[in-house]
Amino acid sequence: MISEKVVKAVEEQIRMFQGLAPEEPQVTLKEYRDYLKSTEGRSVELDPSEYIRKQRLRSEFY
Amino acid sequence: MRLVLDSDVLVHALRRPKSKELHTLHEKAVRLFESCIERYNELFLPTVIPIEVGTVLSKILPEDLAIEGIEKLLRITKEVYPYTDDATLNSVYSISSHIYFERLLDNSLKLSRITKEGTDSWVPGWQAKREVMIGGMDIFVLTYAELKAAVLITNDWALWYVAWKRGLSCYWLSGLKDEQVSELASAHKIEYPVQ
Repeated sequence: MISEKVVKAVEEQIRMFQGLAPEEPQVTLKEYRDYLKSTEGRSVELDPSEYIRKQRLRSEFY
Repeated sequence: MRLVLDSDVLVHALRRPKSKELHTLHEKAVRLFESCIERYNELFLPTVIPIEVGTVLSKILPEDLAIEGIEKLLRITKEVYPYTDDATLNSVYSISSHIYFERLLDNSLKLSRITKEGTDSWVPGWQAKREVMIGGMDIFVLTYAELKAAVLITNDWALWYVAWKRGLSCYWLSGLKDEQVSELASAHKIEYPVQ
């Protein structure tokens, strides 16, 4: 059972961290499309589905 | 609608391919990704996905673009769970992470290797192999979508099949028609697969 003291401590921690973690501004469609355009002709051609399937079954991260 | 976009769908959405074969999938992934930017849908991700996307982008794009792609992904994502770059959220998520872990463990033992049912041979992408195997990373993704009651979209047939048999709301990107992608991008669930 969680004591009231623990709950207050957690709430205090959350309040403290909230002041240090400002919310990131949202990405706009234009920013995303500009980014996509900048990748044109600059990526190595690879099928991500095939590549990730191999990675997941042959070399786990954990 | 809460969407969990699998790593391969996100890589499709975060770089423009050269070949025509990959272009169709890229366009579908872009429409789904843009629906999250426009807030028709909300992007929910388990921690492993941005990490996996980062490892792939860093192999196929120059470093500056890979970093920019990941930054954009994180800014669009509504939740990364259970480990994120937000200290407050890490504190909050740690309260429930044991539930995630227990479900992960259970699913890893039950779902990693399943026998396909012959009566499913009508589904898109079916191949005549007796079994489907998925790995630990797939279990992280599937279990997270299950816990969050989110819609899972992957282009990995094996993961899709296991998630579908498990009863999740899930879609295989290659098997989706353009109008079905548009429905999903407008936050409408669709019947899939249709016999």
